Amino acid sequence: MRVRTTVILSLVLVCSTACDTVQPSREGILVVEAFLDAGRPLPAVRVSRTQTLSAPLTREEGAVSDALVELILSGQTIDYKAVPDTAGLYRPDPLAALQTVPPLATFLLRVQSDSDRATVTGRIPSRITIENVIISVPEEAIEAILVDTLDIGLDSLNLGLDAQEGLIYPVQVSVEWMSPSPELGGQEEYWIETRLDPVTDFSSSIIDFFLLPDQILPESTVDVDFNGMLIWTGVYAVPVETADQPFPEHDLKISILRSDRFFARYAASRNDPAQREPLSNVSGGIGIVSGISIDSVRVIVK
Amino acid sequence: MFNKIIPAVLVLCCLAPRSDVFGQELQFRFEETPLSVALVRFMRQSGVDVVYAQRLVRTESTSCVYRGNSPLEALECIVREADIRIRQAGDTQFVLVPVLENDDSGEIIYRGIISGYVVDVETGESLNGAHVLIPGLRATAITNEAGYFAFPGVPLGRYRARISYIGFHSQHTTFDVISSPVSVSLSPTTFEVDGIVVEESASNRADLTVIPGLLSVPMRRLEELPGSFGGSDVFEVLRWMPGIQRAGEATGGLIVRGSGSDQNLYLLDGAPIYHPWHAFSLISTFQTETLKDVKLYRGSFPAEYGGRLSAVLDAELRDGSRANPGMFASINPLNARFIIESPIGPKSSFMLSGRRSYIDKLIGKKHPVQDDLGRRDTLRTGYYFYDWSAKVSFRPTTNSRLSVSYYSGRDILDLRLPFDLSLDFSSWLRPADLFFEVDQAWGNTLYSVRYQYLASDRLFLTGTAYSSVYDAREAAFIHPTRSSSVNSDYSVRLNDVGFKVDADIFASLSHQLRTGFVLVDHRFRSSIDALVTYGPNLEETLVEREKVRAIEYAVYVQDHWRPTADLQILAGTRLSYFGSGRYLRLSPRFTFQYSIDPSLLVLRGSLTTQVQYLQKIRDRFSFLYDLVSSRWVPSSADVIPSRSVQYSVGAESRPESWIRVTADAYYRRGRNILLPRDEFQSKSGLLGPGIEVSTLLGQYTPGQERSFGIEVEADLSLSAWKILFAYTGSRSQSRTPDLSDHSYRASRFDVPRSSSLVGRRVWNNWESTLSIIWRSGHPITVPVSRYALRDPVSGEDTFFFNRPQINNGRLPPYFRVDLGGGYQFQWLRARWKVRLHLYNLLNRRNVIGRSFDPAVEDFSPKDRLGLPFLPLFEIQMEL
Repeated sequence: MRVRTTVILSLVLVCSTACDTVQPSREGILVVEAFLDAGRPLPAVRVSRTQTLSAPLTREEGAVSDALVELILSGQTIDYKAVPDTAGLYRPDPLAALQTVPPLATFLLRVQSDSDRATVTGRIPSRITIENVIISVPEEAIEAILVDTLDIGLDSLNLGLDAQEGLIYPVQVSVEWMSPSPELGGQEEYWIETRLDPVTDFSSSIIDFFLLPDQILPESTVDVDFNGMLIWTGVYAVPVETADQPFPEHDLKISILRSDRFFARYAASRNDPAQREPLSNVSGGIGIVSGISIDSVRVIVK
Repeated sequence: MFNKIIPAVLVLCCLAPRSDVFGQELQFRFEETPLSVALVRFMRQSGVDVVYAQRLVRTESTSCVYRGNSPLEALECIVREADIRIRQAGDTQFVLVPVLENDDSGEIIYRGIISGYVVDVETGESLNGAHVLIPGLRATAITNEAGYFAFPGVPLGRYRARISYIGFHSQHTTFDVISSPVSVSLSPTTFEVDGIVVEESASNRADLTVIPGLLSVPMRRLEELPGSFGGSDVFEVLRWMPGIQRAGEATGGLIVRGSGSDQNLYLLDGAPIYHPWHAFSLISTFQTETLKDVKLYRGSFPAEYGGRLSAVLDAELRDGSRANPGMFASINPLNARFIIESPIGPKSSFMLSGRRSYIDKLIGKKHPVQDDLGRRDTLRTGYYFYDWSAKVSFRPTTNSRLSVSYYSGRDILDLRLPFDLSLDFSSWLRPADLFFEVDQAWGNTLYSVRYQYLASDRLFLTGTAYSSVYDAREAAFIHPTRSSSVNSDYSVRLNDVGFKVDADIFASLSHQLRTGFVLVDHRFRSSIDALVTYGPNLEETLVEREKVRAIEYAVYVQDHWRPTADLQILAGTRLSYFGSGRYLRLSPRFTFQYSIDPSLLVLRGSLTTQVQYLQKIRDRFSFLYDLVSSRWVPSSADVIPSRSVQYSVGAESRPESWIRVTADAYYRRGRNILLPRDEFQSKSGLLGPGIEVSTLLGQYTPGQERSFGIEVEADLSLSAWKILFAYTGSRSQSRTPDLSDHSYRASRFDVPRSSSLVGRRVWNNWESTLSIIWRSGHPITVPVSRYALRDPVSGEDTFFFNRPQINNGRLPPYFRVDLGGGYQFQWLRARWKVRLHLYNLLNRRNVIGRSFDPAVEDFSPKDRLGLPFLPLFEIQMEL
């Protein structure tokens, strides 16, 4: 009897230690996204749920059309209604639609769907405006690595083979804007995301890795030029086929975005979808709801 | 008939009246004669043997006049003025001993000490951890690092003793109670010696170690287990033991009971090694053939060890044979190596070992090239590693030994290659405008001086001074376009200078104390000079220097208490102070062993606590630093030392000399262990946040870990067959409460089930080995759903996976079969051995990594596969 008990207890111990106890994960998490752009009309709010992996790869698949959406902006409550033709999209009441997002205001967004309730609080940054853009185009194309075959691993230099060289024009762009005054929040608490988006796509992310087409950085670390304005300089590449080919004329969208550090964390973590999902600031759900200020200019570079 | 006659003769002999020795007349006249001189003259004239310690008679003198034919009476006359008593040990032998005490009955009891050294008969090297049993006293002792043991306070007499050591023949011998240490030589079980006088047999005792989870495997046994690409490798062969795995398929540090490899303390001759790997962790710095002893403590370690939570690997370099010179040389696909050892006179010996990879010699390190335009360049394809081990041992007296150890190992990677690298050597060996240069070097340098001294019969002192340096350099120059470049030089260095003294105090038959103190000066240094040029007038620089220093003190005391013959208790505590942050921590440890039957069943249990002041972390953003190197961070005001407590129980049985079965169960909890704040963050940029420790710590948060499991091991030796089976059932989990993560999740190296089998057969000059390993796959984070978010600037949607739980899935089980064969022969007066190792015989491509693409509708993973079938060889030569 004692032997049998011992054997049974041993088997229980073996099973309890050996069985894989990984817990199943939830599905259908509430996803909320909205960007309250300082000085712009009240934004639309998108509400959806995460979709199963076998679902079609469309945004409409997980859209939630029966959620209760409420925005409290500077103490004023604004109800949102679902847009009939666009599943998952919510807009403010027509009476509030003409209202703009005041800089430095605080906000609270509540979304309720079934038993799930998501909330986000935040603050609107001061407005940002691009004051000047300086573009520098080199006189001739230079050689560069073209094909994205360099797979730099963490544990070793795992180098691809047969990467090909090509020719690019590296275009240098400087953007200037005014520093926010202390009464407008000061630059200490803000982050800046800059982007140079040429219409012409380049074929290699490796070049982007070694150039500087975009950047996320604290606004307090941005250089100040001789005019007392903040200035950021980046570089993007324009490919050409031959060395004697003239610089291709193209459109360039230059964007600058001011936000708090939560959006900056989100922005810094959204660029590698295969490895990770972006960091969220939504309580009770996922997604991003943030106060931002965007300014962009579109120029023709030639 | 003879069966009856022989006992009768023996009885008659015993009952016969005993006459004085030889019956000859003795005549002495001593006047203030040194007692030692008198005793020599007595022995010479009487032919009687007198055993005594020199210190007992050194200061004594005698005045005695004797004439008669009784040696005993003559001896009594000689020593009557000294505080010495005589004990007759045989018809022609007397033992002189001091008078120690009176017992309650008033009868004088003479006591002395039995002490000695246990050594390997083949090489003369001391055996650490040998088990000495005196049945008549029901007393046991374990030899220390110098192979020394002592039984103090033993009543005078002659005692039968049995000396056992794993992997060696047990030896039965007889001890007399005398003051001079004796030397006991054990022969390996795999070594045949003709003309052995004493009785020998393989030990079938199960109580040779007190600590549960201690792996003390003789080096010969380790050499029998399948090695790795680099030949015999301690890390590789230990993985066949339960509870031990390597971080990667064939790479990485030891993972002991699911804990990270930085929670293991790797010691070589008492000094720590911080980065014990070569070839990107493919092989370790611990070569089996250069070591004389390896002990791996899994979780429960004695009070003399500290500074890590999970395990201690304590290895000791060989002293070098004191008997004969020898040489060993070997070559395998990764490296060539040699070992030379020899006695240097009667009191000294040395061992020298070297190892180097040679792939760079085959393909060349530098390639001068020239193109059609006359441009010249020198491309570089250099990678190699090497290590040197050396040890000199000197024994000025029987009771003292001085040894000096040196180890230096290094990996050097030196590349200058074009980006458009091709396997067609004729095309890539040309001057390149766009290229990258990598100059990396990392390694350890260690010096250790150890002095062992038997200060008295009951006090053995060991002093160790060491310096251990780990340093790494990662320099790179990358030129991806004509107008952009990256120029970076990063270095990191950790230098430990330590001094420690250990004292073994043989207080009584039932108490053996071990105490000591440790002083370590940790110095950390890192620096980076980086310049990233994005365009003609657009540069970013990162120049940082950091120095950190921390002093660590520790004292410990431990009692090996044997209250009864069946029960042994190892109780101790370690008090440590860490200067950086001013932390004072007490780590009590308690271990017991109860022997129900020394062979059939021995039970063990322990409760131990550990403290770790240094943790290894790496930057998770930049490619320019912490790419191949390790960065150790000391505790400070912001980093609380991590702690752990482990409970374990175990049982061991050796019902027969050919089988040994052990089973251990454990539960361990740890806290303040630095875990990544963002598990999904991986290196993706150039400059990153910088190398300051405070910045690095911002990427981590204090976490908690727990692990529990059972481990079973069966070791069988059946004539030509040796079989080792191991099974582990365990869980290893972690959580980060500071991030509101209150549920335990599978930790990175959680392996619920693991089993392995190694079978080895030896016949004539042939040997064959079959090894099979099966284990659960490592945890991975599997997406459970998908969603889209819109970019506020571009207005474009991007699909992401939702991964609400870290490590919520698992890779497919890992399964591999290896086959090995060897043939040994004599040629050119040397012993040769040729080994062939068929790695992954079934060519099963195990999945070792898995990724998913959220932008593709078909949710099918992309697998990263492990190594295919590989035939490997090794040729060994021994003189």
